[in-house]
Amino acid sequence: MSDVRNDLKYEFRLVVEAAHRLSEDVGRTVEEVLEIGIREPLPSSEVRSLLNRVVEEVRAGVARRNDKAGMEVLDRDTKEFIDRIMTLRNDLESETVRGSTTEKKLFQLQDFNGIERRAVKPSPVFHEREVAVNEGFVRTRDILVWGENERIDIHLNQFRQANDRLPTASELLDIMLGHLKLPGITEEDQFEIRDLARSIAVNGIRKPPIIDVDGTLLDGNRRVSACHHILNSPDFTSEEKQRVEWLQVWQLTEHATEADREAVIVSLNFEPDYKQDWPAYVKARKVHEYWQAMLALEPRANPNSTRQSEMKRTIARRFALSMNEVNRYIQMVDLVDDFEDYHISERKKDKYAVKHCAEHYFQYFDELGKGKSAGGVYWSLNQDEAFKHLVYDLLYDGKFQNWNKIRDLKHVYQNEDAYEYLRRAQKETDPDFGQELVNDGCDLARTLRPEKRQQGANTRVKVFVDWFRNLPVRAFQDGEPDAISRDNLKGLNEILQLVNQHLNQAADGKKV
Amino acid sequence: MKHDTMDSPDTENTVLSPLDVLMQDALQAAKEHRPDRMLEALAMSGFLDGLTRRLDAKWEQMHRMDVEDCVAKAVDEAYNAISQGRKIRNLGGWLWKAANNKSHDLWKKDFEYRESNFRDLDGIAGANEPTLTDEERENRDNVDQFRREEAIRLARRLLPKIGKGQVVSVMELVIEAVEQGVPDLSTTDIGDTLGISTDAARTLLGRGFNRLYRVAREEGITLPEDLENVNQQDVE
Repeated sequence: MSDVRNDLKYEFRLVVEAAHRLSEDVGRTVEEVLEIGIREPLPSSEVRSLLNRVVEEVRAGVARRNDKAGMEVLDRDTKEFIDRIMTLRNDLESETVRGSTTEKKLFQLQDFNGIERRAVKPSPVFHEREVAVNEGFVRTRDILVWGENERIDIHLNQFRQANDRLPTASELLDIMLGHLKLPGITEEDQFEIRDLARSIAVNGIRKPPIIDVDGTLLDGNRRVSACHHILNSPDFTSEEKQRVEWLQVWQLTEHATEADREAVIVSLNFEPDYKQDWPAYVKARKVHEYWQAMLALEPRANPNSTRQSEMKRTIARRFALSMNEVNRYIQMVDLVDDFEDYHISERKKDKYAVKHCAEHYFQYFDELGKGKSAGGVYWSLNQDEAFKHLVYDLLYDGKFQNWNKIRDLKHVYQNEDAYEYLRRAQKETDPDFGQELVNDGCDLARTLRPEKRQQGANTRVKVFVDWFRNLPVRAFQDGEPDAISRDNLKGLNEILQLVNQHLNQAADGKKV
Repeated sequence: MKHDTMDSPDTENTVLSPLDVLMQDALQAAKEHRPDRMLEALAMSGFLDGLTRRLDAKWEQMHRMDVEDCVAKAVDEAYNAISQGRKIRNLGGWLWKAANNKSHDLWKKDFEYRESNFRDLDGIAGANEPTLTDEERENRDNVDQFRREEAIRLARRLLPKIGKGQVVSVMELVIEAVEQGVPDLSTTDIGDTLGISTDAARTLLGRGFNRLYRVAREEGITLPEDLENVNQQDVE
């Protein structure tokens, strides 16, 4: 009885599976089937075998069902029938090869939201060439990432080597998004599609991608990939998805020549557009201003961490930044404010000179803000106002050779000798010499930090002891060249006494 | 580039690609009881090549001849259905589902049967060859048929428990399609049959599956997690 029940449960599962299969959306799979069929047709022998089997099955079917019309047309020599199909396929193939260079299937632009398709006037110029284009809309899902893009050439070859075929359209997209792992690629988002997607979700696409007459994407692979990412990712709202469901594109006209296509590709991929992003300092200031404005509207002066996260998420969305960037910018500007306030109010420096300096060294504030726990850079700066001001002075005077030196400040703070080097650097009027002093201080602090001193202690002692044992006696005789000086002998003696103390303590410890 | 499926409203403003035209030709030929022209158009479109390769990749342990069988049977079924007057909107989707279902069934029946019968004989030369006699196959098919009917009866018995109105109608259509062995029932078909929009049909279908899973669980039937998850995503 229980077997029957289990069988029924099992069969019920199969019925539900079948129900699911028959009602699932296979539009994408059908596209893939068609793509594969065109890109990788079966070899002739396999096509013949398949067609033989299909003809046999259909012939048997029409006979079984007594479909006279069907029987009549299939009651011929199968070989002859298949030969004819093979000839037609070959003809079509050569036509396609010819056609691919001369004629392309027209991919129609659409009107959208009351905006009609139109010719772009005056025609844009690409690489010194005036190329006529039309402007209109296409569904984003109808545009596929371009497989011949040089940007992903290595990836394509790598994929082909591993899979013995070219990637499908959806696999191409996975490559662009870094979902498809390929050996040697370590970055999560090599083409920075996610950052771009965040920007597009907020602003839409500002520069229309350019497609060929047949819809092939000539320019805008990253933008289109980012739009696909927005449509497929749960991280974006339905409003943001809606924003990228239709894309405004430029399309070459049917009169476009190969030279026109070449000009578009070269112009947009090789020639810089000289667009300069806002400096990080300016962007961070904008973010910080917005953050302060939001804080001012809060009922509590210091909102709890959940609320702060919500607010920062709003900022991230507004400025198309990641949460990490928002956090970083806010903290950096907090430090910059402190830096500027010190120089303007206490040091009486020119306000704008100070601001230029802060902008110039803006990335250093990222390092200054790191290490909030005990012993970190930020922690050290906040333990001692004098130390912080010393660092601000050195930064203003350009005495940190690079941002790496900022990381050593946590060691400097714990080492009086190294600290002294920085004080000397502060007073030094020659910036180059000042930099050298800072470098020396940092080096000293780094090498003298406890963990560094302890590192490899046994090996060092062993090497020294071996070397010492093999010293000739004359090395201790005054007047001999390279003889050990009295000062050094005194130093050795002090160390020996220390060693003796440690040995005795260890021996006492054992007895206890 | 996306190849629009036949009879889709999206194609109204789009010039059909040669592939779409060939698939339309295949559909029209079947309507006119011309299986020869249907095969010709399908062979020319490359769809049969793609279908075989895609199935080969999906059912990679299946022999190529079995894949060819599945494709051949799918084409015959499609021809039969269209020539009998069944409205098929998307011949490509229909053929894919039919051939994939056949591969699925073949894998489940023959391969699992063979595995269970010869599991103990692993390592013996020739033991892995299928050896079902015609009589064995017929007996097994009869038992399978009975079980399938009972399972469909159970599914129908559960339908009133999933709710009332359109969601039940949608699931009734789906169960009926399973019973009749129809390989493809798109949301457009469901929408047309019930006089509702495709989007509404899609939502009701997702909701119907979810409720069916729930009542099935209440009856002590747990469905595979991946199936439930897939459907959950559909609803979202």
